[in-house]
Amino acid sequence: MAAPERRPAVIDRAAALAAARQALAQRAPIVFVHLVGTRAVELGAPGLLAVYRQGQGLAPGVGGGALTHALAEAAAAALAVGRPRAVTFSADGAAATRRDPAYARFLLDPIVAAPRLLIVGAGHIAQPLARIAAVLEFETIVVDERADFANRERFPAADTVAACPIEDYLAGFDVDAQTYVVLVTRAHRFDEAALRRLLGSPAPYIGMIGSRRRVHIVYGTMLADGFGPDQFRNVYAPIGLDIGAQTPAEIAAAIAAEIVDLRRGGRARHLSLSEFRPAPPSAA
Amino acid sequence: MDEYFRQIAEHAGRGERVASAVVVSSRGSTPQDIGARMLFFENGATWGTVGGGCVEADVRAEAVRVLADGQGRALEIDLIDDVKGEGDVCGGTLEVLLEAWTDLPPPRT
Repeated sequence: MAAPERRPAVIDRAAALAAARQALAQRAPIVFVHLVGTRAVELGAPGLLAVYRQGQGLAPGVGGGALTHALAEAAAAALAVGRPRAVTFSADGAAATRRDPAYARFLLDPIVAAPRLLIVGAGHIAQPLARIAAVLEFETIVVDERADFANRERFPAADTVAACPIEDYLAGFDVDAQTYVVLVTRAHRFDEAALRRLLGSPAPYIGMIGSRRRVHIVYGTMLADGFGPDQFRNVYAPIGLDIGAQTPAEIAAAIAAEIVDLRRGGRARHLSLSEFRPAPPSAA
Repeated sequence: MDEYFRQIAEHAGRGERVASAVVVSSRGSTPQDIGARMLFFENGATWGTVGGGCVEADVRAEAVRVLADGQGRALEIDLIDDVKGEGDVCGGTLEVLLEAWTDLPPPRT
């Protein structure tokens, strides 16, 4: 534990707080680098030391150049997975453990906006899905042009319910790398129209409902229209994990579980056609 | 995470002291997530959780010190064979980082 007279190593807290809130509001993640503790390395008392920004690196530097470099690399890795991580280094940035005679231990804490779930179509699967998504702490958006379906009464748990033409809404929606999309409209032609608009977006997941046969047809016509196979890498259709789902709520659970599986690097079996996606890591 | 920083900003904006606790690592069968976080305010109110009854009393006691002197601290909580209440059995070690979010006068040297 830090002796009370040691000088705190923290950077300006008001500035850090503003940076965190800006990162969340603009959905441009940063990483806080906190000192947890040291042995025989002088970095000050535990607390916030620096901020890592993609493309800008770590500021201010921590210790020497080698340690700053090692921390920036570790921060980038934490940002890539979006989860906090503790790391321990020697004063010159080499990997260390808390059993070593000299070390500094850090917490890398990515400040990442909540993932979003954009549900296109406000029907019988969208309803339970919006509720599950709220429990999983997704910012949930539901869009459907039918106002008698897309409304607060049917979607009390959603963050946003938009009753407007789907294509118009998607045209104005900033789909980012933390936006998961589920296409469950009332007719396959609307799903396909939305898919055409979303293809090539940075969304990590675009799930589309439909039978294998139906999905084959959609892929076939889109490929014939000039879409490249690599553009389907983030498309999951038929949607959901293979859990034998039957009811709308069960299908919603299969979809939510598929998104969790994707985010957390799970190895569950997906129903989707996989010919356009690289094989997932083998269960070695 | 929005709410976490909103809470800090709201309390700090009123000139109140705020201390945070974040789970840094967890070994053994403790169910806490790395990154689980909790805030402690001057008036005794809290926000969030770092794992409930098994650890929160220890963390709270340390947070009171952080609120008083503004100094960050790391805390290791040994939970082996710690049995509290019916069925509430934790085990392992929890590492928690506590720090102050509000600027205090410079520390005495």
